[in-house]
Amino acid sequence: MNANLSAFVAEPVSAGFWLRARAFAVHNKLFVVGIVIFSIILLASVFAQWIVPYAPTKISFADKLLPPSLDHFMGTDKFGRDIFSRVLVGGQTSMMVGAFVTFLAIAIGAPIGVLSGYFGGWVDAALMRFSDIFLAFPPLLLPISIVAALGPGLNNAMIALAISWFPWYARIARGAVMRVREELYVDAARAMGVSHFRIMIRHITPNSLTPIIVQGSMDFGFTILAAASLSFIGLGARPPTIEWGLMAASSRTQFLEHWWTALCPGFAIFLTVLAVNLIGDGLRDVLDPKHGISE
Amino acid sequence: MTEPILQITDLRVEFPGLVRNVKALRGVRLDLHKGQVVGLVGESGSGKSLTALACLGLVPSPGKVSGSVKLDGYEVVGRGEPELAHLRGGVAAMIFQNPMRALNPFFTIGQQMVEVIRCHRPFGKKEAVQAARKGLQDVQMPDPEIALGKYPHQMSGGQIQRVMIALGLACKPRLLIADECTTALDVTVQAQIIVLLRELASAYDLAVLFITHDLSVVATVCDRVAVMYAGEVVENGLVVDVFADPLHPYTRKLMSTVPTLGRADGELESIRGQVPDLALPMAGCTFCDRCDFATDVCATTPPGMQGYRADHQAACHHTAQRVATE
Amino acid sequence: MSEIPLLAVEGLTREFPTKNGIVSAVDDVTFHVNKAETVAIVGESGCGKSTLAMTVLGLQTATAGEIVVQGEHLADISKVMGDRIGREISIVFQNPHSALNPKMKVGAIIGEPLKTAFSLSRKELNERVATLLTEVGLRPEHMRRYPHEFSGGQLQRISIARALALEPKLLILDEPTAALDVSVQAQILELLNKLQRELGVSYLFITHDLGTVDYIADRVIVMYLGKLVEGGPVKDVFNAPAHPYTRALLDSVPTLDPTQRERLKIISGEVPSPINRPPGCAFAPRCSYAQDRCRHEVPATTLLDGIRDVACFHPLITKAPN
Repeated sequence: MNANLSAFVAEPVSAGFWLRARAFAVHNKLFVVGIVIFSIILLASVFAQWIVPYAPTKISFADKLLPPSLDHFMGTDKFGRDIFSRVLVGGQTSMMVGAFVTFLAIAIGAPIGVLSGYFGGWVDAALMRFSDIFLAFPPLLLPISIVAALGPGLNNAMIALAISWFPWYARIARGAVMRVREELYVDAARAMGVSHFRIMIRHITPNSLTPIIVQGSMDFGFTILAAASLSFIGLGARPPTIEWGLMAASSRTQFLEHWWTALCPGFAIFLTVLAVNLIGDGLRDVLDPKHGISE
Repeated sequence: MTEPILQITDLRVEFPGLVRNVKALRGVRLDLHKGQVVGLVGESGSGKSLTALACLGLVPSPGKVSGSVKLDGYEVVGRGEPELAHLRGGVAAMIFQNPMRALNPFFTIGQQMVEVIRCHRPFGKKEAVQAARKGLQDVQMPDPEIALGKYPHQMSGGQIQRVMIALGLACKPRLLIADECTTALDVTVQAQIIVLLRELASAYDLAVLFITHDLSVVATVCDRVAVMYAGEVVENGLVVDVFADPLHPYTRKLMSTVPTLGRADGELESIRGQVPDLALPMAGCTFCDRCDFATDVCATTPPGMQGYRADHQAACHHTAQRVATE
Repeated sequence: MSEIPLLAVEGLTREFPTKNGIVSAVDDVTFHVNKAETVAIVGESGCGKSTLAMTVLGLQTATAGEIVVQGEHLADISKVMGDRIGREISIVFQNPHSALNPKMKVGAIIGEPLKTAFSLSRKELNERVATLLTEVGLRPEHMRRYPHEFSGGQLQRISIARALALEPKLLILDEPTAALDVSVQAQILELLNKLQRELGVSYLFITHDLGTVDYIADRVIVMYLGKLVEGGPVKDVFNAPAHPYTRALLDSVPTLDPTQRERLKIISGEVPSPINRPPGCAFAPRCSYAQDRCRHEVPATTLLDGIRDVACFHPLITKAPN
């Protein structure tokens, strides 16, 4: 189809911000839903201390294992603690885990991918074989091994997850870079004598970010899930840390008769991962060159 | 005079957006008869490709089409998909610009041709292969038998365009629309293709709508020409008339901005200003801002197409005076 | 004239190893460009004109041959690039949309060569960028905008501004108007003429469009399948071509005059793939004057009357017109 037709359909750059935002929201409904949900979760986590109905650590055996009610939205656990308050506060931990692990994985993986994709040849081969070592392990086995070596605890769990996750970003970055490397403006920069380092920083990386950002936003949810899984098997967060996976783990013995003790923290995980996936999907459309930059 | 194969009357296409509506086509009028090769000329944004798409009901959503497009008497505007599918290929066929992307790289030319042929005609496999071979012969493909077994990446742009023409003609349409089909080709190959199209038009009494930005190709291969600007046809007439004496200032300028072989040395003319924004309402003539002859009436009253000579019309207020003083 | 040419290319060859054998994209090409002159390189797909440009610029390494810039041999191109070449020779690419980094502001794009070559203060840099923008017909405030806010013609002007930043003596233009609208092409060609008059820069203009060559070039080189088949002053070559391919090329170009449409002559066949290069003269299979010798021997380039280069055993003219 004629490239000119996109000029008829896309909105112009010069229209007002709010008009464009409205147009955007209409075309990307799910993305907006994702952002709304995620913002609510984020805000709730940040201001958890102020909005919890009960102190999350307040033990009250008289109230133990109460089902959800108006008093306790998500019921209470075996120590009589309000689950809703614990979920809110636990959000802080989970958000931090998601951000930290994703960021660290990108910080390690992306530069490797950029160097690999840009230079090719033996640099590429060496770096990719190195990453392959980490990719060779089945998904959770590597973090489990690393945590087992470093000792259990949330911090070690996060480092272990970042180490197992970076090869994906290395590959994604490498793919994007190999494409961008062929662009004319890179040739133009080389023709002007710009150094390799500057080309990578100024030209290659900014134009290779899209797939990394998209993947990163989706991984945010998966890292939370992975951290929760590690906590579930006792290798991640440990009491008294409040973390969703740990909450689900501690309810193991009661949840058959008292479903809310596991399902409510589980629901929080589910909602976060859902929101983040919607954002990730939407970001892919948004950042697609066909949208903002006309051809 | 017989019924025109293609009759476009007051064709309007609008792309509604939340911020602004783009009026891409603003009342296009065009007729094609059997055996005529008509050139539709314009630059990007003029609406020429969109007009072609509208003829086959292929205007992309959210485009809103109004007016009338009649293919051999059948109205296209407002038709549903099943009816349009019958028209496409059967009554009118279209060839596009980029031959390298037109075919599936995983299948041979023969396989793809057979598939298309069997979609439209009740042929068995053997018959379809024969029809494909004959189709390739008709478009002067060297070694048609070998070509059938090749993959798209093994063929050149010119050869693939021949395949596309063969496919277009497979169901014996009455109208062939060629949208910039030689733009991506080498100049010697372009010459071969345009001569081929001219020969096919007279051999099969085919009407050809040849869309291009290249005026010299129009001069060489077309009988009539329609010049488009900002979503309208601004000049329409026989090629010999229009090229000898272009009536519309835009056509005039267009001819003098093209560097051609043998042009006397001198400055190339350029058209000041830019193509107008199609979302803004335009009072008066669309070319007014960029025209050297504009007067007050041009800014306020849109000039309709006015016939100044037999079969040569232009949408301009001032041509009458010019012609009258001759 | 005894002046050293600005650019002298001698026997330039660029080969690619492929699984079907060695392919010569550029085969033994010799030509030169003088000061403030425009030399056009013309040919169809597979002729090697773009590869030639990339090799002269240094973005690709020549397999054989020499490139001499203002009397200095460029022996080790990879070392020199970024040092001298960036300042002597510059390039404008065909596709204005992909030749500019979409994530950089126009001012940074134009200023990049300056930053690489010199250390200028921010003020000096901005001044120079503003001057360049005005020179190409844009406005200084455009330096704060991004490429996607501009049209194809404007982007090409920005490309030209960037190419001129280091005041090169030679500008290579690879099909600079091919992707532009007809009315914009004229503007860009006019701009190039003006810049040549004012700055004395030479152009190596690569194109497939003979009309553009006629308008802008002083001399023309015609290439076919990697070899130079004809070279000389544009008016002479176009009025009296010596090589049958040049003749065929000229005959295939449609004219703007409908009464002349019968002049169009088509030649059969297509350019062969470089992998299946015909033995002898590459054009022999399609040449109506071909004889036995043409099919077995490769014609060397000879000089007609001291001005015209031709690679043909039976050139169409034997004396260059005066």
